Amino acid sequence: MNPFGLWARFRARLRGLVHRDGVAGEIREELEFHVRMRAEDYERAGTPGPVAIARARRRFGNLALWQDNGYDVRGGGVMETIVQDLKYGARLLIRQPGFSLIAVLTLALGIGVTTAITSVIDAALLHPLPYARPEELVHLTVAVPRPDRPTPSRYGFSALDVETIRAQSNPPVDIGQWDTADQMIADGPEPERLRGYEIDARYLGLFGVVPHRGRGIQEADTREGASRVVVIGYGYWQRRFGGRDDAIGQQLRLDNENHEIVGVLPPAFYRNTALWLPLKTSSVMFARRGSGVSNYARLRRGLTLDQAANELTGILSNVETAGETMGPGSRVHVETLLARETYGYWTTGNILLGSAGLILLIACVNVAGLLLARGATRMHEIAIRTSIGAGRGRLVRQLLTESLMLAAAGAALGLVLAWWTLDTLVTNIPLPVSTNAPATLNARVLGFSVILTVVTGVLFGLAPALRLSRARVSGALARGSRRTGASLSRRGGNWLIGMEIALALVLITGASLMLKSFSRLMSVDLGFRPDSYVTLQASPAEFQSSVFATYYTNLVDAIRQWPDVEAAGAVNHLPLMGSSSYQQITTDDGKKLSVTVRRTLPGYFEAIGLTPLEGRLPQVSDLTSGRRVAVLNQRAAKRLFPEGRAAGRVITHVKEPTEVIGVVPDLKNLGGNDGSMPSSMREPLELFATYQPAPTDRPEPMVVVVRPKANAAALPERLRQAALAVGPRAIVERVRLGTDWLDATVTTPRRRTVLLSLLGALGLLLTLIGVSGMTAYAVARRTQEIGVRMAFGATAADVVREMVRGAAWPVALGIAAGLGGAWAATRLISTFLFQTRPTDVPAFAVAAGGLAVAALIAVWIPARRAAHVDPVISLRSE
Amino acid sequence: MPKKASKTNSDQLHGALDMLVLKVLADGPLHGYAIAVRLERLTNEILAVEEGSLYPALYRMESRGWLSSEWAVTDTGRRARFYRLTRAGRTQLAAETESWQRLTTAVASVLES
Repeated sequence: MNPFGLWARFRARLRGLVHRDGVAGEIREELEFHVRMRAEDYERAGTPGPVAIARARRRFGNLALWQDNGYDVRGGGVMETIVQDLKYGARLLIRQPGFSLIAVLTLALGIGVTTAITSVIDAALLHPLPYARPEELVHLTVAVPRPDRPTPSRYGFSALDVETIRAQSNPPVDIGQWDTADQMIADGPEPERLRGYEIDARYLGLFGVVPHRGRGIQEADTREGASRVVVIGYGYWQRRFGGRDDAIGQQLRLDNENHEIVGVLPPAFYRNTALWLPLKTSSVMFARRGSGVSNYARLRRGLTLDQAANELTGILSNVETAGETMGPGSRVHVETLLARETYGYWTTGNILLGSAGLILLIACVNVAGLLLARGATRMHEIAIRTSIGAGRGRLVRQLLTESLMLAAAGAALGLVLAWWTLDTLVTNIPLPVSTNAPATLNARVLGFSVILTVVTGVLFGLAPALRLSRARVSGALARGSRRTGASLSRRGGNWLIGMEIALALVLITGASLMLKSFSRLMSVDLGFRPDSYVTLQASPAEFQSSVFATYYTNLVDAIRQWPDVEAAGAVNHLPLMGSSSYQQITTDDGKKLSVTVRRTLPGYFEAIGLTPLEGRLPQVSDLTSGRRVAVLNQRAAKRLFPEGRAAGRVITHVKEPTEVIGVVPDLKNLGGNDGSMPSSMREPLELFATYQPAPTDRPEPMVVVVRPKANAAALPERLRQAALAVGPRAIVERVRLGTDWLDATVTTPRRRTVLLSLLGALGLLLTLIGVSGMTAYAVARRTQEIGVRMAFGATAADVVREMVRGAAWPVALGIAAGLGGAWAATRLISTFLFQTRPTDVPAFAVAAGGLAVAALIAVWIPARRAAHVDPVISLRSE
Repeated sequence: MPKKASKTNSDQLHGALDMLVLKVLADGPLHGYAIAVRLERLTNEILAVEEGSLYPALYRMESRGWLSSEWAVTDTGRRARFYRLTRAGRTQLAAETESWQRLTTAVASVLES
């Protein structure tokens, strides 16, 4: 077909719409032609002009009426019908603002929640890598089978491996290496501690990242003896240099060494990471695998993961690393970055999406119920339309148009809601949303919402539309009664109430389990009391071991003197902080043991609320006694000295004889939620050495721990002041309560619990609105019947009881179905539950009981209102 | 059962009008007014109802596929909508004619006996 012809027709149609002619105009033209012809015939037969026209009109009948009827039968063009339906629907929705408001709000909640969660899932799980061809980006390791373990151990490539691969004529991958850098002290007018990464010259190129200013890390920067350079992140550039171009070329003093700033990275690449340093390979580590350096790579175009793994395994099998070749069965493991970034998060994502889907379904059921209830009052109107020739298809289309309008209005409001809550959701959702790929309402998300809206509209609109359009016409017309549809919608309403209750119960049971699990998690005995201490993280600005040593000793000494402080000490790795270091110790009888070592200043144990099981705790005097002393935890003491007392024994630690002066209880250093951690971290053997750094040691920041007396006022602020007052220049990072540390270890479970509880509450709320609304409609239609019964002596209580009893069945069936659904669904969250089985009976009982009571109250309120109307008024209502 | 009866009545009425229109159009395309004039003449104005009622009937038959229509110019140079019998319309006409004849024969034989 000629496209211009099509275009012309389209334009003609549009014009028709605007000028309100089109089909309606055609019909009018046809009918007027008829009348004119008739009039001319009369004139030819001798009737004078005006009379002829009048007679012709009379003979034709009411022109406008026939025109309308003709239109109803013939229907307009598709677009005209739609416009007509839209106008009609809009009028109807505006005429019933209460109904429309509830329906639109309900849908807005459902669509809004689903859209917001979809947006986060899109950013976190579907498109977390905003780079060209992200599917080519992979993470490389060597997988070495372990006979004693089910899964192979994985090691990073050695520098020699990388060099060998790069030397190939057509390497299967382009490798970029990176490692996390230690926090560094950046000196300046306001010194601070910064985080960063060490990267090689290829790393930024893998992602197609072009520096925002200056240059990236180059090959020459990574050689040994190269001058020190640093590339800074966009956020730090803005904060420290105000985004000025002259930052390039300036010297940045990091850990007492000058580094030249050579570049700034763009805002969309880890904007909150301040430092990007050259990754330098030490000659010691050159041929050793598993040094901690990560190898990212981009696959050669068209290569599959398996092909790449095979090729790389072939290349590396000839490389001799640290005296060994790759053992039999060792392979290069190639994993996409996408899989790595999203590993383990899809369960959470699916559960959130599923919960949002349930909310949306409940919203749909709600609106379907309201439509059905309202539809019963529209029987008369529908009957009239049917009798003048509107077909069933035409009616269904009209009713569906109304549903889609509701859905569209709900979606519009829902999008506003999603947009408004998105930031809050992102910061509280247990999914990793990177600053590189922030969650937004982008085209993909909006497209999904549009589909969702249409599906929603059809879902809640179709059943009522089919039901209403099937209704008998003549009966409705004959009786002219509003009540005709009562039985029809009452049965439908009961179904919907049951469905709604079942859906809500699945959500509420999940929430109930999560809450129970979380309260169990929070009541785990950790062995210490996070609620009894305050921590101060500060360090001197001068990066020198001796400065650090005196700084912390003086700081703790000063705080210890405060009258409202019970105890004060310091430790390098606080429990719940999640870092540790291993060292080997030897007993006086030659037994060797690898232990977790923490360094402490006296007062630390008292501050976190420990008392010794044996021996004593370190005193201030131990620092100056010239002897080295240490404390063991119970587990280490038992392992080292199974036969007797540990206190008083001498061990060798970092080549120094050290006296064990006491034994303290074992702690749960990782918090209660440590089930997924390896047992070596969960049940550590611990040595607490006193903090006596040698001048050659790398300066290490300490955490000052303070146990205040009951009424210590403004402690955080005073701690800050003290940290600044003690040293010449100091960096105060933060003051935290012990409970803040505890909270930080349960962030993910808490977020899951809060989110699933909120979704459960939302589901409950929508269900109650739905049940209450449907009951109110049903009751309104039965007003007359209620009046009759009360006139015959039934009391209000009788009527209410009967109403509630009538609703009890659908509620009970809904709860039975919901329990079944929950029983099947809650196993999905079994990995989220702490010491709680997914079929925990009390949690199920609380959810079902609570929902049943709430639902019956939602029925009782409108029923009671109806029963307290004066019977005379009820009888007259109609 | 008033409902059933009224439905049958209106159906019969529709049926008769439809059959007559189809019959009139069997000889060739006509516009609405011409159809009305022919019907009048053929039925001696027995079926003279409001003329406007012809049009919803035409549209209904068109939507059922018995008729097709298009705008054309009359002998006197005016624009008018012409209706034409489709193949489905001819089949329908034949079927209705047959069933009508069967009915009238039956009724006639009852009345004559």
